[in-house]
Amino acid sequence: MGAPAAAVISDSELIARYQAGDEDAAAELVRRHAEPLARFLAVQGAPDDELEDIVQDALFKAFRSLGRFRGGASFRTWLLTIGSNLLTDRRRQWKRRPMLELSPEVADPSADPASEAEALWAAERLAEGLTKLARLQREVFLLRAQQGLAYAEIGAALGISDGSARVHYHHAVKRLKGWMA
Amino acid sequence: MDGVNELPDYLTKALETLDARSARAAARVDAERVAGRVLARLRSEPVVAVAPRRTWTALRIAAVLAVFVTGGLFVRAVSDWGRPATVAALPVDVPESLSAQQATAVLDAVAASTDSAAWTATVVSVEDLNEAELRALLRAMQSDMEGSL
Repeated sequence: MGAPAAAVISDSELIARYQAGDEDAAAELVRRHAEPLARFLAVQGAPDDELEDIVQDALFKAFRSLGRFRGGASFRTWLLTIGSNLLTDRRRQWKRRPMLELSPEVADPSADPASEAEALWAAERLAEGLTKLARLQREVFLLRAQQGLAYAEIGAALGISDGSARVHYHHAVKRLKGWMA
Repeated sequence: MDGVNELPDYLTKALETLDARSARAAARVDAERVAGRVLARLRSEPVVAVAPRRTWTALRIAAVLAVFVTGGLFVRAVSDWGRPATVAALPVDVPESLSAQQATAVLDAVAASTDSAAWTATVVSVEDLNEAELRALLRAMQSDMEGSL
């Protein structure tokens, strides 16, 4: 018999420990969620050089607002929405700044240059389309399409019904299809 | 990206490309450094006291009331706009030039008329004076004419 696998402490437990004064618990939460949060923000067009700063702000804000975290959604989903709101605030400051510069390193090196260029063009077009969506549409779309969350979880995180989340998703897809066409 | 299977292929591929790029950018975020900075801020920046929910509710109600009252006053002001101001008129028509006696008689007549009647915002002419008031007024005018002759 091998050694038992180390029990993974749940986010809820870590939150409770942090609230009881355990800073290591907070550090563990940051380690778990910083990168997924950064990825979620980057898809929405957060510039690379600002990414870590926004992630830091979002986590700080989340820890400060833990009293308002009701647990209807997971800590991560809740954190993603906080980050997204922060990004929206910053986007107002960056109005004239290009939001995303895709580099050719993204594409598969084995792919032929024509399809690589096409993929990059489509990704850039999608990134631009995402910025044109209403905030709720964008968040619901990414929480569903990128994060793979259920409508109920999305609705709980955003404070809307799952039916409303479904409607926002379909509107977002419709608008993106129109934008990409 | 479980949700992408609901999307058309071209959108799925675009999202995958975008996500791959985002994953590379996210990998450059140093979680340890972020953790250190977040904890430092949590230690150094004081918690801002947030008003309890009841306070916010009371403030919201007060704000709504203020809006209603202000709106009501505004509507009232707008509806009164252009309407001539109501001025309490003398209950008798006062000629342009009166002697001192005539004026006294008019004032007496006014006083007599207002002793029993409430002030109204209507214009009252000499025709509206009662017999006693008219006599007083005529006597005053007659004596004034005699005086001037």
